[in-house]
Amino acid sequence: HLLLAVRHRPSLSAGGMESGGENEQQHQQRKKMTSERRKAELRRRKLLLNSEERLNRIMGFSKSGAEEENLGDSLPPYELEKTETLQKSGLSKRTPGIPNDTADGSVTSIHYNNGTEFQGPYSADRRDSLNKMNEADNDLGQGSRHLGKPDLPVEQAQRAPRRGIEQYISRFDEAMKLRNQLMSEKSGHENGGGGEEFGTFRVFRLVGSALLALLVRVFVCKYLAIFAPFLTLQLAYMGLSKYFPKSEKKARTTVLTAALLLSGIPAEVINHSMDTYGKMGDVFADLCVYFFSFIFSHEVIVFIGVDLP
Amino acid sequence: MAESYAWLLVLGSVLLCSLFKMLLPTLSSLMAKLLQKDGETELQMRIEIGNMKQELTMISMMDEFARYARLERKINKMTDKLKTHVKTRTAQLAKIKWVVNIAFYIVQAVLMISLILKYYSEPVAMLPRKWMAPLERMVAFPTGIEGGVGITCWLLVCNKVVAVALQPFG
Repeated sequence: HLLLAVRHRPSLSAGGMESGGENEQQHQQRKKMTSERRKAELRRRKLLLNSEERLNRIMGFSKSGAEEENLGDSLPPYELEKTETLQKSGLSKRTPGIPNDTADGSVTSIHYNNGTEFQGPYSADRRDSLNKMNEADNDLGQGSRHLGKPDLPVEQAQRAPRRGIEQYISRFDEAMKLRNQLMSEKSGHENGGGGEEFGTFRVFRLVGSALLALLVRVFVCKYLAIFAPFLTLQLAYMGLSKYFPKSEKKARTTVLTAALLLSGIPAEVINHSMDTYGKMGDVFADLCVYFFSFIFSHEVIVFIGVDLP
Repeated sequence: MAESYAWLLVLGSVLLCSLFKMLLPTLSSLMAKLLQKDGETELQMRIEIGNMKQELTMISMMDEFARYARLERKINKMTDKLKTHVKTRTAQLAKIKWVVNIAFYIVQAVLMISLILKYYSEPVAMLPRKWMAPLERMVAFPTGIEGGVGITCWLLVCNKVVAVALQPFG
């Protein structure tokens, strides 16, 4: 076996020289491919991470822009420049593959690998991708510098249209959501889900009002006006409401609520008003049932001929 | 003074109107069936289309392409005719519904106005004045007779009570 291995070795080495050369070429090609792949991967990562920021800058909603605005209100111009540089360095640290100048003058590149940050030595084969990224950064940086320059009146003038755009977009979104909601509720209503639902508490209220009217007609009306017991009953209902299971009232979006929302009235105010209006409706229904039961019982008693005051 | 059964008359009218309103859709479809006599034509067309489609599945497209194409064209033509027919019928049905609704609302308005005019100065029921305190004037409107129950108050109360009572059946 040893002899065989020894015999094979020269043959291997002879062929190996040739294959070795080929291997080296292949290795170099592979190295080139991997470096190209690496560059492409870096570029892709950078684009993905920066896309949101770029979009915000285009739309004028950049966070850093907002921070600069806030700073612009309070800080003098020389402070603003300082904060700008700090922010840029922070940004460069956060993004992957961006050249980072170290204290000794050498340039390192920061990369993210499986979620962990590491600084690798700056190698020649990454120079092109890094230069490209640098150019892109510079462009953006200039743009941000333009945005962040301590020209307060210009900033204030820019702020107003940005806020206007923000408001417009948010109102537009709300309008589209409301439109879809209205259409879905309309189809649900047409299918047969319309009208208020009878909850247990509502039934309890109505039956209670009717019974009280009967009791008041038989026992109480000679002493008191008929509306006094009704008011007492309503106060009692207010206290009893918490002991009943609250049926989840689906917030019905009507054309009125949609119009109120779009005109700028906050949703909480509208909800509160709708709740109050709903409660008033319940009280009115109780009053109608109470009064009707009272008159009905009175007429029945008169018809029967029972001698009651 | 108040007629004995005025309150019952008003209550009965309101109840009748509400019940009629609930039955409006059924009434509209009944009237549509009576007025639209060509419902059989539509049924025949549907049967014919079904038969032709069945025949189409039995014909091989490769072997008898001309016959297949001819039959398909026939089916398409019949389907278009049926669609037009259905559209016309639906439009007619919508018109009939609209007419029935309008007629009902006119009748209801006339009934309510006539009741109000009849009992404008006369209460529908009489009660001792002190029972209605402090809302006796509001309850008595428009009669002005203290202790009486006016037509407007009673109409409002009856409408609400009947709506609440009929809600589970709606």
